[in-house]
Order: sequence, then structure tokens, then C-alpha cells
Amino acid sequence: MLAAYVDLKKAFDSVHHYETAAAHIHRFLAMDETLLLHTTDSASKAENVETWFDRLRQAEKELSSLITHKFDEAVKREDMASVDRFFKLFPLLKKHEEGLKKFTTYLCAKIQESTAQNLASAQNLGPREKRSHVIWADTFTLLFEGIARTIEVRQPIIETYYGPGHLSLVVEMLQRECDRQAGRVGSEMRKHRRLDAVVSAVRNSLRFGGGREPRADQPDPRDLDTLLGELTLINARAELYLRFIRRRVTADFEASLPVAAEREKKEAEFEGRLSQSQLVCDMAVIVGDYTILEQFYLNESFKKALAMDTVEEGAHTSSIVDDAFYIIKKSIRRSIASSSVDGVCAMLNHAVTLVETQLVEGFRQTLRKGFPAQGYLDLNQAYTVLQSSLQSTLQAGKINSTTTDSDALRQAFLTALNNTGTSMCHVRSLYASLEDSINSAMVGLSNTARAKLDSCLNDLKTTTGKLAMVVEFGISQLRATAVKPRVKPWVDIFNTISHDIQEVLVMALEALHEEAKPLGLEVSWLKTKVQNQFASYEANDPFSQTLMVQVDGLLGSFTSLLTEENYKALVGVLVSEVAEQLEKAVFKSSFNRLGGLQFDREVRAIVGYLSQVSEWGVREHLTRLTQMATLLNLESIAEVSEYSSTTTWRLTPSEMRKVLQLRVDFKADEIKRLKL
Amino acid sequence: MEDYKFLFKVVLIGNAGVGKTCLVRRFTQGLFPPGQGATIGVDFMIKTVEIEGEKIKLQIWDTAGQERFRSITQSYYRSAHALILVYDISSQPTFDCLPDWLREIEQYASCKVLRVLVGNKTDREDRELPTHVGEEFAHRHNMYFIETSAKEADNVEKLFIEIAKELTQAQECCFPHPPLTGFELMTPTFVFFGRSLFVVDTLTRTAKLEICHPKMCQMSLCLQQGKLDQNLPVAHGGYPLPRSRARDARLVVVVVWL
Ligand SMILES: Nc1nc2c(ncn2[C@@H]2O[C@H](COP(=O)(O)OP(=O)(O)OP(=O)(O)O)[C@@H](O)[C@H]2O)c(=O)[nH]1
Ligand SMILES: [Mg+2]
Repeated sequence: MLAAYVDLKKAFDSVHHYETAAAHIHRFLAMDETLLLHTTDSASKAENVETWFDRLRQAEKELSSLITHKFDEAVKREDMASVDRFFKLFPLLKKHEEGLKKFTTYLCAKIQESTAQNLASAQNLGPREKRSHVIWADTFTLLFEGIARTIEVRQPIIETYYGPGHLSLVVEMLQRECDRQAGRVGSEMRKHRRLDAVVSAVRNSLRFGGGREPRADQPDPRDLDTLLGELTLINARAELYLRFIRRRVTADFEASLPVAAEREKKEAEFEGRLSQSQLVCDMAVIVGDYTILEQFYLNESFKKALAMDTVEEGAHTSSIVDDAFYIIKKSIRRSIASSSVDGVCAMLNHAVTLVETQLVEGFRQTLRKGFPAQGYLDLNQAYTVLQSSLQSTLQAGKINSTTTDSDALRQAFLTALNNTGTSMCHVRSLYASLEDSINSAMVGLSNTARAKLDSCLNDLKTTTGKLAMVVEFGISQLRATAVKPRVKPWVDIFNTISHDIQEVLVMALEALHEEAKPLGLEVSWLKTKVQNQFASYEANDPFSQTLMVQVDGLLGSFTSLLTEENYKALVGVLVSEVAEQLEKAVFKSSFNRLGGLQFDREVRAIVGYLSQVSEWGVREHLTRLTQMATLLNLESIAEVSEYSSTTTWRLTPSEMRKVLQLRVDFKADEIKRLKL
Repeated sequence: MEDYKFLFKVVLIGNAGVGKTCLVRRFTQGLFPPGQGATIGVDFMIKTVEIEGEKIKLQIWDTAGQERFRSITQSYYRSAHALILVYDISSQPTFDCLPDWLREIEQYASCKVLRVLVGNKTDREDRELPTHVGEEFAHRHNMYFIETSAKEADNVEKLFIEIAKELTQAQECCFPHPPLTGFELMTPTFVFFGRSLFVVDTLTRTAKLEICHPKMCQMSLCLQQGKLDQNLPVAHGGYPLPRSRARDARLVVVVVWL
């Protein structure tokens, strides 16, 4: 008890030694007045204590105004040490909030000051100076870094003397200053870069559908490069800064608020205010402006590339494909550099629009015109003409104009087809690379932000589906005019050759009979003889040999004109066309045992050849044909069931019956009785 | 994998302050947010609803009404399945801007997009736009129309559910399973006339059409090479083929819905 009195007295006496005085007042403030009064036994003493209290309260008041005064003086004198000294004393007087506010006000003044300097030097920077192209981004950066450094430096002293849980107050005050200063920098930047004028010119140009001739006030997309770079840099810096203060404040809440619910509430409140702060709004506007300029940049650069679209000699595709994806990649990457999720999503969307309305639609239009059938009977000649179509368009005068026209059409068709296929590859690799850069450049995203990005990225990926449909359409066009009419005459030969090799057999047997009889030869000898005869027939087989040569020629004429993928598709189409037409031809013929054998050989040769030039998937088309040959090559109908146990038939039972009926030597009712 | 039958993108547009965000929050979270600040850029929410026992996922994009974010918000129009254009029934200016919004839709959205006009804030006493004015506008521009109050939760659920229903039905008839076979539909244009659907497309070869959908009761196919093939039944009674559509089309498929 006595100690308390002594302390109180000491406190009062030492009022000019601020630290000690404040410490004593702090102890006094921590005491329970009524408790003290109650525990004092004598009335006189109690009275005494009360006067002490009064004097102490008086002392506290004096001390507090003194410290405030001293603090303000230190600020005026820019005496950092004294500012810190008096700042530490406020909490001892239980004046946390006042101390923090005064201190932060002081910090804000410093920020204001340095921003004013930075603004002045930015304005005075000559256009040829090293960083003049990003000077406004630099000025923003200085502001953000200044505030971040302030927080970094001051946080320990705040924590030590005020305890945890006070940072958000300081940060929010600093943020309001940041809002003001960023607003100043922003409006200077807008003036200096003529941003509003550029944006409104671009907006007009976009709104009026980008007419044929560019508007007079329309900027050149190339001139936008620097500005776009600076705008993305500004937002990226702001994002970095916002992430920093979020992290610091969250950590401070974690240290001071152990109850999760309370902490989350505080965090949400802080986040709510931060996300509606002027800085965030200003940055959103900058991103909005950036996006409209980037959209314009993308569209205009594409238009330019399209105007200069050329096919280089020996190239499958024209320049627009590589150019378009180069431009798209550049634009989206730049948006990623801005760290703005909305900016990236918007650019992904604009890119999808470009791919779908310009590339997909453009290629489709060209393919719609079709691939004019060639009037040449001689394949090699057609091939040469196709090859030289580029040159021939250059020397248009020399060649019959209708030929040139269809040559040009063919060339355009094949280029469009290759462009479409190659675009699919480009989309796939673009998707992969963008996904990578987003993952590495944009960290700590909220779930919503991630979902937005994923959705827009996915839209980019699904453009491959639209492109694939166009490729399919192009290939079907090619099938209709370049494959089908060609295959027809080749397969027609099939029907000119008898597979009811009656005559051959009869002749052979007759001859053999003559020879064999007098010599008394064995049946096996007879057999060999027949086989030899048959072999000689096969050697002259006009059908499969011709077919293979022709197919080879047709494919050969396209190998150098199509991309690998498209060539494979063409092979697929050719194989299925041959298979389809040959199937029809088979149903128009009739076979005997030997004819069936012959057909089996022919099919084997053709399938063997086509399998060589095509891929696994394509061979499926040939299975039906092989199975038809198997049926036609049976010794007897009874063998069908044998095969059935090991074969998955690609032919329906009724088709199988129809095939078997082609064998002149199989009896109709036996075929009917077959269990299939 | 989440399991849902269809995913639809629904995009809300309209002047700042008409209540787009409140409508979305009411629908997705069941609340009316006090002191809702202006949307910056684009917000994104997901809600799965059930339509005739099937899960339908709605991806809702809530855009900022402020002009400055237009390049960002417009980029979402093209992939939208439905566009909800909102105005405030107590604010004539928000209604007067509708033609501008329609122009934007014309320019950026897909022609197949489902368009819905919404008059919000019906709870307010100071109504400036009578219901029939909105209705007539919607009718004139071939849009659906509904009045809502995000505050009182009036018609909000209905708005989104109707959209989900409508889109599901359209989806099922555009992509019946198994799909149209025998030809490729390149850029099919689907046109609804009453309960029948016209699929218009350019096509080169005779098509075999297999549409198996329980709701299709009659289906006819006209192959047109220059002119309509008279041997095939043209549509069904009552709805003549729209001339302008048929002129540039080679194939017209007409599907009648039960
Ligand atoms: N009375 C009433 N007020 C509403 C209703 N819906 C929204 N509001 C109020 O209208 C104001 C704007 O609502 P928001 O949902 O933010 O408007 P918004 O269309 O999203 O605006 P932007 O995001 O700027 O485009 C808020 O103050 C809401 O409280 C409603 O149904 N009735
Ligand atoms: Mg909103």
C-alpha cells in the first residue's frame, strides 16, 4: 500500500521526465481506485488518497497534452527520434488510438511530400530519358513501395509499444492517403499520356464496327505497345502492393484475435473496405482502359496480318496462322503481366472471338467454295499443274484463265484446310503455355478468380472443336470432288473382269484331261497344273494392280500439299471410299470357287497396300471387305460356322447371306438355313 | 467430376445500380446484401438447379454497369447462352438506355442467345415505368419479360429457373442423341416458330436424319437444291417455311415438338 503511495507521489514529482512519468501514470491507470479507497482504513488516509487521485488525474491530463504537444513539435521539426520517442508514450496513457492516428497522419504527410517530388520529376522528365516510357508506372511504384516500406519499418515499433491488433487502423489510414496520392499520379498520367483521348478514339473505332478505311483519329496499333506495357505494369504494381498489405494485416489479426469467428469478421470487414477503396476502383478503370486498347491492338494487328497473308513457296499454311497466334499470344501474355484477373479473362474472351469469327469462319468460307474437280485424266499432269499453281497465278496471263481460276481455288482450298488443322495445334500449345504462365504469374488467387480464369481458358480450348469441324468439312469436300469421282473408274474395272472363272477352269481342265489321261498322272499333279494356270491369270490381274498404282498416284499428288494430319485424313477418306465402292461392286458380280479365291487374293493385295499407307484406325474400313472375301473364298457353306466362332463379323447376318448368294455354287436354301 | 447435364452461361447486363448484383446474390445466396457497392469488372457465381430431375449448372456472370468496364464486360456476350438485361422500374433513364444495350447485344452476342428483359425493384413505391411498357418493349424486341424484386425475393427464383428450363429445352432439341447423322451441320441456324424448330443449313448431300427424342413427334426433311423438293413433306400443317430462311439453305429440317 505504501509502495503505491510512493509511486503515485514519484509520478507526480517526476512529471518532466516523460518516460518515467508516463510509466507511473500507466501504473496509476492500471490501479483500481475504489479498491484502493476501500482498503484504506482511516478516514483521514482515505481523504488523503482521494486528493492524491485528483492530483494524479490532473497530472495525467497535463502529461498527455504535453506529450501531444511535444509530438507535434517533433513533427514540425522533423525530428524523427523525438517523434518515435513521444509516439511510444501514448499507449502508456491509454491513448492508443490517438497515438496511432497522430503518428499515421505524420507518415501520410511524408508520403504526400515524396509523391509530390516524384510527380514533379516525372513531369520534368524529357521524352528521351531512359525510363520515360514507363515513368508513370515508376511513379506509382515509388508510391506503393514507399507505403510498403513505411509499414515494414514502423510495424515493429507499433507492435512493441502498442501490441498486436493495431495494424489495420494504420494501414487503413495509409490506404486513404494512398488513394489520394494514386489518384493524383493517375490523373497526371492520363493527361501526360493522353489516355482518355486515345481510349475514346479506340472506343469509337471499335463501336463503328472497324469500317473498311481506318478513321482519321484511330491510332496505329504499334504506337500502343508502350502505353499498353506501362498500363499493365501499373496494375501489376498495385496488385503486388495490395497483396502485401493484405498479408500484413491478416498476420496481425492472426496474432491478436484468437477466436476464429471474430478474426474472420474483422478480415472480411477490412477486405470489404479495401476492395471498395479508391485505389482498387482507379486500377479497375485503368484495367478497363487497358483492355479496350488491347482488344483494339489485337483486332487491328490481326487485320494487318490478314492483309499481308501470303503462302511461301513450299509451305503448307499461309502466314496468317502463325501471325494470328503470335499476336494473340502477345496480347494475352501482356494481360497476364498486368496481374488483373478481369483483364486476362477479357483478353481470353476477345481471343476466342477472334479465332471463331475470323479464323474458323474465314477458313470455312474458303472451304465452302469447294475443291474444283480436275479435268485431267493423266494424274501426273494434274499433279504438276497443282504443284505449279502458285507460279501460274503469278503468270496468269499465259495460261487459260479458267484453268488458272480453278488452280487458284484449289490452292486456296488446300491452304485453308492446312491452316485450319495447324490452327488446332496452335490453340493447343497456346492453351498449355498460357495455363503455365497464369499458374506461375498469378499466385494466391481466390477461388472465384481461379474459376473465372479456368472458365475463360476452357473456352479457348474448345475452339479446337470448332476448327476440327471445319477440317472435317474440308475433307468431306475433298472426298466429294477429288476422291470419289477418281475412285469410281478404277473400281469399275472390277466389274469388267469375271470372277466366275468358269471358262478358265473349264479350259484348264480340258487341257489337263488331254495330257493326263495317256500318262496316267496323279490328281495332285492335276492340282498343280490348275494352280499354275491360275497363277498366270493372277499375274495379269488388271484390277488390283491398277488400283494400287492409281491410289498411289492420287496420294502422291497430295503428299507435299497437305500437312501430315490432313494427309492422314485424306488417306482415311480414300481408303473408306475404295472400300465402300468396292463393296458395291462386289454385290454386282458373281463368283465361283476360283473367283472367290481370286477375289481373296485381290483383297489381300489391296488391303496389304492400303494398310501400309494408312494408320490403324483406317484399317477398320477394310475389315468388312476382308470378311466378304473370306466368305467368298470358302470351300463350303459349312465353314461359315467355323469362322463365326473366331470372328467378330462386321457384316450383318443379312449382308452375310447376300454375300454368300454371290457364290454361284452355293445353294440358296442352304444359305437360308444357315444360323447366323 | 461434378455431374450435371448441361452448363449454361448467363450474363447480366444493364445500367449501374439497377440491381444486377442484388438479383444474383438473392438467387445464389438467398439474401439481399445491405449497402451493395458497385461491381468492379465482372463477378462470377455458380448455382446448380434441377430441371425435370436433371442437374443444370448455371454459371452466372454479373457485369459492372459502368461504361468504363465495357470492354471487359462485352467480352462475355458472345459465349453467353442467356443475357439478362435489367432496368430499374423506378428509373426512367435506366429504361431509356435499353436500345443502347440492345445495340451492344446485336454487335457482340450470338444470334442464338436467349434474351430476357427484367424490370427490377418492384417493391419500390415510386414506380416510373408501368409493367405494360416493359412488356411491350420486350415483345417488340423478341425478348422474354419479367418483373422482379431482389429485395422482396419476388420472381427472382422464377427468372433463373425459367431461363434454365428454356435453355435445357433448346439444348435438347439442338443436340438430340444420337445426333443428326449422315451429314455435318456446319453452321446450323435454329429458328423457332411456335412449337416447331427449323434447322437451316447448307448441305451438299442427301441426308439421313435420325433424331431420337421422345419429345419429337414429327419430323420432316426437305432437301433443297435451288428449290424445295416437293416430294418431301414440307413442315407440318400450319407453319409455312419461312421464305427468307429457305432461300439460301439447301437443307431445312423441321422438327415438331409435342
Ligand atoms: N428497393 C430495392 N432496391 C434494390 C433492389 N435491388 C437492388 N437494389 C438497390 O439498388 C442498388 C444497386 O444495386 P446493385 O445490385 O449493386 O446494382 P448493380 O446493377 O449490380 O450495379 P453495378 O454493379 O454498378 O452495375 C443497391 O443500393 C441495392 O440495395 C430491389 O429489388 N429493390
Ligand atoms: Mg453489380
